[in-house]
Amino acid sequence: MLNKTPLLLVLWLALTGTARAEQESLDNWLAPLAEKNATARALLMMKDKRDTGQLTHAVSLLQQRLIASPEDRTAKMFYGYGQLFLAGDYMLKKNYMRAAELSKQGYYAIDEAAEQEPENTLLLYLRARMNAFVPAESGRCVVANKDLNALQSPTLPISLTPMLTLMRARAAMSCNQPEKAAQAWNALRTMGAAGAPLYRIQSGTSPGWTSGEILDVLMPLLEAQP
Amino acid sequence: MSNTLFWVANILIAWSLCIVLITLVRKPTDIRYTFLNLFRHRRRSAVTLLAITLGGVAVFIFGGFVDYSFYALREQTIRTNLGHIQIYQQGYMANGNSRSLQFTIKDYDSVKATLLADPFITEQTKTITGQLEFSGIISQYDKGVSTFFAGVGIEPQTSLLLGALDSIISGSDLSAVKPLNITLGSGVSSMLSAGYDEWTDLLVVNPEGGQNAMSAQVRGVFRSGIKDYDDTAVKIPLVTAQHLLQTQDVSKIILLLQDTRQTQAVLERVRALIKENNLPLEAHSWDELAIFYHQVVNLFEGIFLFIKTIVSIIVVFMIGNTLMMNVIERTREIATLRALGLSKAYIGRLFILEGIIIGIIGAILSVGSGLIVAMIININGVPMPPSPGYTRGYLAFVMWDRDMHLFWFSCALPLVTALIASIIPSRRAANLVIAEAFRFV
Repeated sequence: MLNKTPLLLVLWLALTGTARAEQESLDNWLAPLAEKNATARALLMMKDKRDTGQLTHAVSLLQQRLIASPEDRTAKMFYGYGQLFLAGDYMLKKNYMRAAELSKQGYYAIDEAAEQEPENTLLLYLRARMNAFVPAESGRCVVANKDLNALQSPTLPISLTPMLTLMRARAAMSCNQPEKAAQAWNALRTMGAAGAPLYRIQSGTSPGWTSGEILDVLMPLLEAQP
Repeated sequence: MSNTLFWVANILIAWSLCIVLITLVRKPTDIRYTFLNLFRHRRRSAVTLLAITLGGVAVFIFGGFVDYSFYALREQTIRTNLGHIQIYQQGYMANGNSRSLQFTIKDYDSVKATLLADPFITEQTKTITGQLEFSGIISQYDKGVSTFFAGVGIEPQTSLLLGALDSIISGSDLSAVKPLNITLGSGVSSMLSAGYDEWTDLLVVNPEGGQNAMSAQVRGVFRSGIKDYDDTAVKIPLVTAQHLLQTQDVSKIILLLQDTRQTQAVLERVRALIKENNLPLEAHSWDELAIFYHQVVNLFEGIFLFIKTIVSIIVVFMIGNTLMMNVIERTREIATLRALGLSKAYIGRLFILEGIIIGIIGAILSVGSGLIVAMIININGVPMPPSPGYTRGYLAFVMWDRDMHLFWFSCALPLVTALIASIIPSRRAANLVIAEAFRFV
């Protein structure tokens, strides 16, 4: 029978909001790119996950982009994000069948984008960012843990370290690894001002894009798009 | 049997409505008297209406619940890798699926292209995918464990929708990028103690009878909720399965449609295409293949019939009792009417009319209250335990907006039972002996 429990994993996605300051930061950086870059435009549309119309528009924009340029892994990654957000929306509307289909397709797109270009640590980071914050029932914490282990090499900018630590903590909690989670929380606490806002996010929704992520993950990926 | 009852009920409803309409046109005061008589004892009439309404609401809610359960079970069955239509090599079904590798489809790509070239099929279809079924032994040599498995080679992307209700409980679905990655049913995973990212070894027998083996990494663990399936199922990318079994064939081609109601139309078109192109294939609908679904549906239908019968009997007794009490209380009044020259038929009709009116009010209240209760239930659903053969429960809803029969039955039950219940009291009233009735205390 149709089971709501595994689908709950996407419910939170529709409810996650983005703080106003972070939205403004995202606007400031992506708006100049958005005119020529469909992925940047779609990302801006996906800011408010409760706006179904904008979400649907963003997903169809990314789909068109992928038809025109199937090798665009960044577009594929955010296409996956968009489908998961839409799945959350269908979940709220109690259309569990469509929600299940979209969540499968969303994760598939995210996995494919990350695995087609395994040397691209930024794509791996984006996959880990999605998987670390989804509910434990989704079983995605194991994928997040693997990706976060791969991201331990010092190739990533230092600005991402607090968020990576938060992702480690949350993925460990989802995977029922309390010791590993406690280590990550401690590390985050000792980071001072950089870790303090993230330390508060012990459960629930994922945080909005930080300025470090916008500058060191989103911008390089969007600017490097084919 | 149920068809006959349906038509008998329709005739009775039509007759009842005609009686009311004719009375309304020819003797509207009779309708007024009926209401006055019915509500002479407000508490008793209210209790009767409450009983009728509760019965009607119970039938409405249970009917909607059963409808949703059938819908959910049907879609679950279809989306657990069954699909709406399956195409096999001729003779596959006659051989009882036991020699699946001997009855394979040789030219999958050209058959798929033929299907996709048909505009009607393309329009109605969500996905078309090939699958290769086989069996073998899966082991984890490090842990010294092995078990039999029922393997299925699937196309990772086109199978996403087909297996949409197979929940991944750890890891990911199959990938086209990593062909050596497999997914395990939760039972297989438990038996092998093999989780995400661990390596397993598969041993299979190919169509020629030779043995072949390969190592594969576990990419994910899935749970369909059907224990027998989860205990044996292993999913492998189709190209990998074909490579392992040294074949280019597929066991079956599956079509997942946009809408289950289109199954018969698409099936007929597929069969016509097979005939036109002289293909050695046979097509079957999910309905023919889902034996378990039909068993559960038959069980539920039996339970529903039982509940409907019980509710009908209760309603008949409640209305019968109310009308009989009316007759007893109004014995002298009836005698007066008869003494004034009113015919037996007229007196009888007055009581029948009371039964019909109480039935109509009960029908309106049943549907109205049923809708309100259904909407309240549908806000969050009702957690249900697992169905027979399933390992996980589900959230039940009341599906009232897709089945007109539900409304029909919720109206027919109070009306027809009220009509039947009023027959005996009306006959008793009509056949009272005037002299004796005047002496009644």
